[in-house]
Amino acid sequence: MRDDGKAGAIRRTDARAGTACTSISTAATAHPPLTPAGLPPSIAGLRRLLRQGDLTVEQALARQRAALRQDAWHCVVEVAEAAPAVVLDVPLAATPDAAPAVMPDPSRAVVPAASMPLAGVGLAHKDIFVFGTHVPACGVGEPPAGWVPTGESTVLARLAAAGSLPLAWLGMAPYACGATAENEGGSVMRNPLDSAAAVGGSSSGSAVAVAAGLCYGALGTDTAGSVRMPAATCGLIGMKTTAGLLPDEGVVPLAPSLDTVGVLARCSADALDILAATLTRDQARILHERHAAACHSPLRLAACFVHANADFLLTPDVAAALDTFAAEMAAVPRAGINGQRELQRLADIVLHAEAATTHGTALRGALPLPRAVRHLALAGAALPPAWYADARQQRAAHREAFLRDALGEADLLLVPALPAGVPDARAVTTTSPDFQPRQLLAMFSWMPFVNYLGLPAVVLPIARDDRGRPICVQAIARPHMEGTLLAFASRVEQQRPDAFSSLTSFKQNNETCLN
Amino acid sequence: MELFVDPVSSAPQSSPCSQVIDACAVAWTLDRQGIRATEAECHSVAKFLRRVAPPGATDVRTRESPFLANPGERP
Repeated sequence: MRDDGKAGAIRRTDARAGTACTSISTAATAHPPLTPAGLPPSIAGLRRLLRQGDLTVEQALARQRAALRQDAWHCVVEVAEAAPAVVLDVPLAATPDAAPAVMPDPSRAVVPAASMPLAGVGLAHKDIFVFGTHVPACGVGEPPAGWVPTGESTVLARLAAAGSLPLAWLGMAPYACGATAENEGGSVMRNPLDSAAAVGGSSSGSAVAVAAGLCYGALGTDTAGSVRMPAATCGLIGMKTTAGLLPDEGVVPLAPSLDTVGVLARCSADALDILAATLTRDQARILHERHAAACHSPLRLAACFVHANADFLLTPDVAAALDTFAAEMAAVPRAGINGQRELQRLADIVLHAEAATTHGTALRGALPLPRAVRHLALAGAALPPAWYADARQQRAAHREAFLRDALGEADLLLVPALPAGVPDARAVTTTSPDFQPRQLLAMFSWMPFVNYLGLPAVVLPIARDDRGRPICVQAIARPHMEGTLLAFASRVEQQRPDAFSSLTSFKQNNETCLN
Repeated sequence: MELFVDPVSSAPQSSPCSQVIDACAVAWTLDRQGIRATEAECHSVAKFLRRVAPPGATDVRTRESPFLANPGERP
């Protein structure tokens, strides 16, 4: 074994890239970069290393855990304890459909066998999942008052069955309520791309940890953009899944009919691997089939960059980047999304009403709630039930109309992610003297209606602005077309590699995530 | 304003509530659920409700609104 246990001391030969990495200290030079753990930046690269025998799974995990402990971005809430050398060898054929039957006791740390699909792949997650004895702190220290978990997270159990136990729990906006990383009770999280730039929320720690290279991927939850916004601010792939695709068991809710578990990763291949491991075997097969099909046939794209609310105009740099991108992709322009304001209104009603239910115990008991959460829940409690019932009742018809009118013949609809790009943190922090409410509102102007419609969407970087911050696009698809979305992301990666790779050092490596 | 602390018990019969979705209506609705809110919070919630109200529902007398579902109970 050639790993002496010191960060950056590993020596490997990357056969595919035809290059050799000697240490993390050389990452800033001509050598391909490594993560802060001194490991390849992609899951594929890590697998090669493990296969070659230069590193064991246990060593890989130990190095990633050590990197998470040295978190300089204030994104880590808690690092899971080091695993004892107990090898768990779960037959691949038994996962993930049979995950509950083959799951180890998650409170017992294990080292997965190298044959498992995610063995050695360090994942850390938004601190909103129940797993083993872990009770999620939800950004405030404890789950909502009155919330009783029905069991541990099925999604995390599936990842564990694929060989990836959580390495750490990551910071988030209080109770998943916030478009940024702002958290009165937590440390100020820093964007690894630019310390003055905002970090989107509410899965902010997930985005920061992945962008900083502290883990290969992270799960978050997306109720009104909470995976896509943080991903967009950190130049990552942010996948919001189809409503109901991933089980919500063991996930603290905000608004259950809008909540979806999502994946943040540095590249589409990593996102595909992680997402596949969270699915049942049949779902994973369909994901891969649709991904393969979309990789080998032209995608029909439509694009709509005009919001029905004139307050959410694109800034010139974002407009130019999106227009150029749409032209290159031969996307058919759409004048607008019919009923976009109505969709936004209905999404607002559902979000507030369901958040009121989630936090009803705290509201009635006059228990303290973070300001933004209380505001959301109070408004929901005052909503006429008939409005909520009406919003739920209209949902299917609106989805049908959107698929017919906005998507039409297209496979994907391209819309903006952040219409004004990545704002300064001070402009979207409510306690800052430089706070500009419109900039905060703009961040999620293109997000909640997707949750209301229950559709899958992915954000991905397509360019960088003159400050080096990512400019992202959002692609929306029909239900259960996550494979198509990730195939599209893969194409963009190949065409625009400079837009990807959230770590500055990773930018030097063309093979970063394209393998 | 005491009205917002305990609107049901302290609001006078000649309530200052207008016939639109306002802070008073919010306070009353929340109070009915055992939820206390400050005046500022009620104003903020009322503003939100007006924004998301279905067409024709900004008047509390409309059938869609529960505020006058039992008009006799309204402060």
